[in-house]
Amino acid sequence: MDLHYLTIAQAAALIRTGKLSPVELTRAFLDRIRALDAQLNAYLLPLEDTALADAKRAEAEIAAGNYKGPLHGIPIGLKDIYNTAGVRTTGHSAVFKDHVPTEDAFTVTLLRQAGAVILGKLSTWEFAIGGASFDLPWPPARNPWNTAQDPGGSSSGSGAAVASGLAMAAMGTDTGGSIRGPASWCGIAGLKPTYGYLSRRGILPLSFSLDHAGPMCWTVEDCALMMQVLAKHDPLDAASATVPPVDFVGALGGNLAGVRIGVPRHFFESDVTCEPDVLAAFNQSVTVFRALGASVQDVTLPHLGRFTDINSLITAAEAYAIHREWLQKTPELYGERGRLRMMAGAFVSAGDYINAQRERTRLVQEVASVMTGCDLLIMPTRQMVAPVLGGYDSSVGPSLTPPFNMTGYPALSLCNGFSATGLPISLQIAGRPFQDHIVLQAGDAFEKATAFRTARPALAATALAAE
Amino acid sequence: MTEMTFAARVAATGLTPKPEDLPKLEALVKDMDRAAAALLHGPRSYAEEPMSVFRLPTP
Repeated sequence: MDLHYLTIAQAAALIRTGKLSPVELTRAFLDRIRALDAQLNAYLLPLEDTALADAKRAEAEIAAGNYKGPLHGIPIGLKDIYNTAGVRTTGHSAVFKDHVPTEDAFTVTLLRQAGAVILGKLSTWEFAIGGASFDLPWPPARNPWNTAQDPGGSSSGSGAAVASGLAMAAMGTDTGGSIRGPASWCGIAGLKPTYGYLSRRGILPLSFSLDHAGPMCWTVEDCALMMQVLAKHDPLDAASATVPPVDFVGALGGNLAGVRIGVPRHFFESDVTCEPDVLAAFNQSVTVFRALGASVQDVTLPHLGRFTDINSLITAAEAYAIHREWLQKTPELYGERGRLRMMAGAFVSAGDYINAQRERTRLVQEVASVMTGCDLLIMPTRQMVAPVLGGYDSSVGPSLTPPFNMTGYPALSLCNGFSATGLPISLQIAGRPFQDHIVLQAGDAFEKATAFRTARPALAATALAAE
Repeated sequence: MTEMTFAARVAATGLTPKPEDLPKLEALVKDMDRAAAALLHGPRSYAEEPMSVFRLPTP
């Protein structure tokens, strides 16, 4: 059995019944990280000793009859902007290279309480902005489907690690697409939950009003298992929502009869254009949803560029507010891409920022109005497959992910095909606020009706043969 | 009124970008300026209450 390719759902069933040891599972991942990560740079800091200690503790608890649930003994990686008590949290930046928090992020605490094993800290774009950079203290992560290609970002290490079996799941963050982008190019599932569903406390901020934490997993079902643990109110995060508990896992299964899906086709056929393989995969996905019982019809939203423009203004202004002192005193410690993107925020006036937030509210109302007639929206996640590493500039042109940071609506990326060059293609499913379970239900139904979860990166297959 | 040069705008921020950064930074700022100008052309009433706080209704 390839332990590193088990899903959380599969591994949890084995662990719960005593057929799989969390220690054995964790060792399999640590061995694989040691063997493969030099090719991928997914990890900034593997945590071998503490991961094994976590696993031994989980094993003892389970043996004593104290099974905590599906994340007990599951090896998980953290994007290196999640604070970890006593463990370096760098933001992949020289600015924070010696930053050792005293407390875990709230979400990390929840994972630990659920018995998860923290495998290590994962590569990111510098402070979650800019792009893959070669002028930082650590090299950028690479795409496991082709190591010459970009894994996407900013949760680049999270995407690369999950796709290649170097973590069973990972935590990412998303301010303009930073969970869904790498999920797309690495061919995994990544959920940007509704704004306020997951606490942001203890995560290095980029943009206070746009940052979202979320899970990145091989399957949508695993994202639901993660959400079951992570979606908890945090009284110390001002944006944290107080909503009744939802059974994310129980919502999975069944067909999609009666579900109404809208397609903002102008987003990807005229506002931007997609590569032919991406468009073909999307149109095939529409057929799958219809076969699952959903009704699918085109809808019209505001121009995609409107969302992207406002997202860029707000992100730049809020990021500059956070980094201003360091950008003024020690700009040389930043890489070029992060430095320039955040410096640009110095030129956004207070009036422009406030008007951007006002326009954002108006756009939320427009999207809400369209979504009175549909339960979900679907579209490609990225208009192209992974480009060459370093060749992607996230500041250029509209993209398909910011509308759901702007609105705060939940949005999921999942694999819906492969290009002629063997790179993953992806679908984005968005829903109404706090209806993340419906988004996950649709994604899970799509995954189970298709065969895109059977392929893993060739890099991993090659290494597997060598092991 | 004369328009500020980009160098003057940079100086006003207190930032000291490397000389080789300036063309790229100027391109980014030009795009921000375009986005900010576009905001003024939306179908929005300026009589409305300014919305500088973002909240979603809970179900």
